[in-house]
Amino acid sequence: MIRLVVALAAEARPLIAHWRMRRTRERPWPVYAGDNLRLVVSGPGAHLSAAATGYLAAHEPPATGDAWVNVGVAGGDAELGASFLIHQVVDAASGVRFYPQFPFPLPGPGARLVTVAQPHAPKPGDPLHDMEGSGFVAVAGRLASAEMVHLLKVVSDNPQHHHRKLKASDLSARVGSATDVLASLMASLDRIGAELEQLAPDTQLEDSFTRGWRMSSSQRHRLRALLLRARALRLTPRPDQYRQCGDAGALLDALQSRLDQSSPL
Amino acid sequence: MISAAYVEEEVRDHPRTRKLLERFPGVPVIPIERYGEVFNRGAQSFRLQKARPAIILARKHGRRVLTAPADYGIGRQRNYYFSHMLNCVYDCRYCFLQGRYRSAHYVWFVNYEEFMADISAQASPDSCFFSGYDCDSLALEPVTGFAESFLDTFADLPAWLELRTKSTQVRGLLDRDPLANVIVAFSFTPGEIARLLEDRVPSVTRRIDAMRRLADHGWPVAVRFDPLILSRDFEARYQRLFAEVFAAVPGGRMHSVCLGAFRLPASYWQRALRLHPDSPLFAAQVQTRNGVVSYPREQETAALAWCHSRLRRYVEKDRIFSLSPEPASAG
Repeated sequence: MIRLVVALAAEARPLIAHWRMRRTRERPWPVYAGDNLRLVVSGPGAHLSAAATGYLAAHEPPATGDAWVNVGVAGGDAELGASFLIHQVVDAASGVRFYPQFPFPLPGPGARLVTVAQPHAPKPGDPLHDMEGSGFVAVAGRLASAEMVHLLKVVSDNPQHHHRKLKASDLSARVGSATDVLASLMASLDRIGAELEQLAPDTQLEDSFTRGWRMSSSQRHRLRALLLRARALRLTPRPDQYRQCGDAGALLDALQSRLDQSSPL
Repeated sequence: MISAAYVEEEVRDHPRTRKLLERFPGVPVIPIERYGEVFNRGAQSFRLQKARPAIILARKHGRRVLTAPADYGIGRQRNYYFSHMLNCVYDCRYCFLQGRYRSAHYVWFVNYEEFMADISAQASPDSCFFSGYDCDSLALEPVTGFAESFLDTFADLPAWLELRTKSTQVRGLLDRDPLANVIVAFSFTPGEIARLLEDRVPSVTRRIDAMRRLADHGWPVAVRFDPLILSRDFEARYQRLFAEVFAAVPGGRMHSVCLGAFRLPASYWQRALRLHPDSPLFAAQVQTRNGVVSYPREQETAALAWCHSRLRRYVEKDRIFSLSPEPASAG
């Protein structure tokens, strides 16, 4: 699943329309749902972005392959409407940095992003700046690996065009112009998310065994290791094959014995 | 070949940095303070990054030359290792790097001159320096010019240098006169195992051919059967491999042969297993002894003994070395 974090309703609107999302929650933050897609409107600023990201995770706990994308506008010395994927996020106040990782070809140009507390008019030579990025990555970076946390920023103001002149419709138009880039990014994230999902232990199989035998914590660990090993051997043990095992210890020994008889290479 | 270049401010204007960036003009260049802020941070996937690694250009601070474990060596009294690069272009399932590092990006330390000064300060006639611990010594030679640079230093030193590799990047070595104190050591597993466990690595046949060309040119060459991987038909597979290797370079022309048991620190094993739970390597029967995961002792001892005895048919006993229970190096 892709989870989008967007600061303003005006920025969210074109995404909601493009991906035909519907509102599922109004408070404390508006949440929208689409096909394998969620979107939260955080409000402006790093703190709200961090809080809304956390809320979206708590609202619907993320799976191993879920990706997080902060989409929004930014100021900087760049062409109006140009969209950038961020390869370095710097929190201006603390200096803390985050590096999204790209194990896939970038669907657009990359840029550095500085997150500031107050909007300001970009000067010539300025990097991109926004008000949410560092807050978003502070939380999303704990929920997913750096390959699954990204920021897509569209230039809304530059040294020639002041941010005070921006209207909500301008913000919608800017973000709306980046849906192709976002779609491409989301396709890449879906693909690597699926790869990560495949690496996760088969919890359903584990549960099918733990329902039949009472296990201590260490026995559960051993079960998980044995089931992983079985998977690498292309074996799928079933509980009914081990019905004769009176307790968890006997079950695990029997499983191990079965695996030891198989040669993996 | 590389997805991005992270560049420490300190080496931004280094000639090797400039040369690399000229070679890859379209690559995003991202300034950083220290390589660790990208390379060592948690919550990143070695497996995903391996598909499209970036390069991190950095200066190696602190201890650049380290003492090798006590029983690691190929006949010299004092053994050292150094790493001009962290991580490898290849992706071998048994390699300890995937457990050691959080990131699969290549860290390239461009301050060769400082490495060379440190090496020169410790070099003596009874010393050997190993270069393929955290990376393959030759695989990125066209980019890094590592051997090209360091061979000039070793030409004037009494010490030995081992270049450990699985690559066939030997053109630079063939273009120059061989050095008697530089050993090019090729690592092998049997072809059937290599195809399953060594991703992106040149075939065994191509590696043997590269080794033969170097030997014919006069370079001291060596072979490393490290780690030994147990499998069905273990003896038949290794017997075929030994026959192929020594048909290309007879034992009498081989500098040394090393055998090493498969071993990984338990924490590395766990990380590698999480990255590749489907790999048949991790389905093997293993034991943890003193914090190191390896094959059951009886199997391991039998495999080493069999290989040692079989190798004696090709090589004199004093050229066969068994490596320590440290993790297998990258090359």
